[in-house]
Amino acid sequence: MEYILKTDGLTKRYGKKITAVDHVNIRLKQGEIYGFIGRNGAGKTTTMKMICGLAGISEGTVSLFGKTGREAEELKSRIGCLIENPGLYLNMTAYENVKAKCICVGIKKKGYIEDILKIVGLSDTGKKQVKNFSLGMKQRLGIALALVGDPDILMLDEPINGLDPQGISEIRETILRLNKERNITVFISSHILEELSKICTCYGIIEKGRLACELSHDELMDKCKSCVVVMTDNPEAALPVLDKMGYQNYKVVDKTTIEIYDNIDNTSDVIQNLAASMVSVSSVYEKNKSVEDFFLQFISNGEE
Amino acid sequence: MLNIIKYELYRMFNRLSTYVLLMVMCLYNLTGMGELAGSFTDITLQVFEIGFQMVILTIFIILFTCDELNTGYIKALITKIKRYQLVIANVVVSLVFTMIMFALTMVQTFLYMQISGYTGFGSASRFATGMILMLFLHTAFGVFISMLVYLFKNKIIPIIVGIIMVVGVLLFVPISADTSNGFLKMLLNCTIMGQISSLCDSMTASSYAAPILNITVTLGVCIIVSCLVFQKKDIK
Repeated sequence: MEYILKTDGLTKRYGKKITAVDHVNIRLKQGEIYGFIGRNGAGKTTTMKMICGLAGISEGTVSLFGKTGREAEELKSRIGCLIENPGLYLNMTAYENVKAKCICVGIKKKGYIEDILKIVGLSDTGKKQVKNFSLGMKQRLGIALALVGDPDILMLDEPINGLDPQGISEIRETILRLNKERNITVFISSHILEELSKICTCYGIIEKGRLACELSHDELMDKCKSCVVVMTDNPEAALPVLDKMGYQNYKVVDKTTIEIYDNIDNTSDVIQNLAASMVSVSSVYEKNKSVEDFFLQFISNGEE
Repeated sequence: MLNIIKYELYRMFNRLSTYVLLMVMCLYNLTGMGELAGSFTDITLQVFEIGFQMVILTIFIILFTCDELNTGYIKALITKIKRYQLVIANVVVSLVFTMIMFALTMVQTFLYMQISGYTGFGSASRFATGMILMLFLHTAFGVFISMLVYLFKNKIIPIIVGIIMVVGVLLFVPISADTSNGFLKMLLNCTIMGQISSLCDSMTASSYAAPILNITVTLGVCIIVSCLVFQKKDIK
């Protein structure tokens, strides 16, 4: 399998004691939207900076389009990036900011700047200086800059941070459109996991500098799918029954609640078996976990 | 590389501070020229000898280089360019800005001579040599300031060093071609400011060696150090 972006043992150390990113192996295929999830300080931005060349690599390699070393360095020009806050010249207009980058990369095509601004919905900003832009407009201009040069990979670090719901929705639509219409592979990090789950096709969870797991959208949905909640006044008596039924993945949440994470085809079986063992059940229902719940649970399991 | 130079020049001409600084320099030249006399060559070289252009250049380079690093715009470029290319482009910007300062100063000198009734161009060869050496000495100084910005990544240290170098040398060291103190002469030969200040007085073919050596060493060292520092620095 050829990956468009692959990191092997990517590591970033500050001095001898601090390891910000620890042997991270990321695999990204053409056309995917990769959601990079992690808490503050988990190492998301540092990883992205290393991939883009903004930060030095202490150990490990970054492969782009199957190439490593110097060849990969040359191919970095096919990455467009928006890392942390968008870097913009505040006294220039949106047009001038994009024009500056176009000059830098040697793009002279007529109407190119207008097209880019249209994609991100900033074509009508005229002579308004960037310092007078809203946060959402600045973020979109940051994406516009990342799009200059028609990149194959777009690296977006927290692009929806601080945006209002409408701004978030606009960015989401823009990313999806770019992915579908231009076949741009997107690597995106965000804290707003529910938003990520709306657009990403695969995910990587980073915790304390280590890539804890990589999973596809389907796998994540599967993990978030459901748990069966059993409400009973005697959880202790219910547990042997659940064991007998072959369920192993359950958790006593409080004095009246048990959550069963194993696949249960028929909840009435659970009720019948508990009733047969004289365990009173007040209710049984399916509960879907949010992506956030899954993430928090995953992280806390890791800590345990 | 040419595209990056074009980008830096685009940025330079799109900055309000570029024009403000040039205006300040012109105003200062106007106030200072009243005391100068002689041919066009004499007056022009004397204006540069005062060193105010160096102060303007220092401020310009600091604002220009810091802006690129502080705004974070460089993050949008970094995958498309090599870092050393930005350092080289900054050298060109320093050269172009100096050329504009020189051109404006020459126009002002010409106008001043018309108003004051002075005539005569003076020695053409002295003018050409002096101006070329001044141009590259100023550029080398700009590159030195730019290196300080890359090293310290702030405005304060480079501006203090820059101002001390310009004003400090002129104020505290009695510069003159006939400086009898050999050690002082040797020391001055090591500084760009010393070269600029003594260039007017000692314009003989044999005296070109020191400024040329100074320009070469300063440019070489500063470009290499800037590239090495900038190459290794993580961009925040």
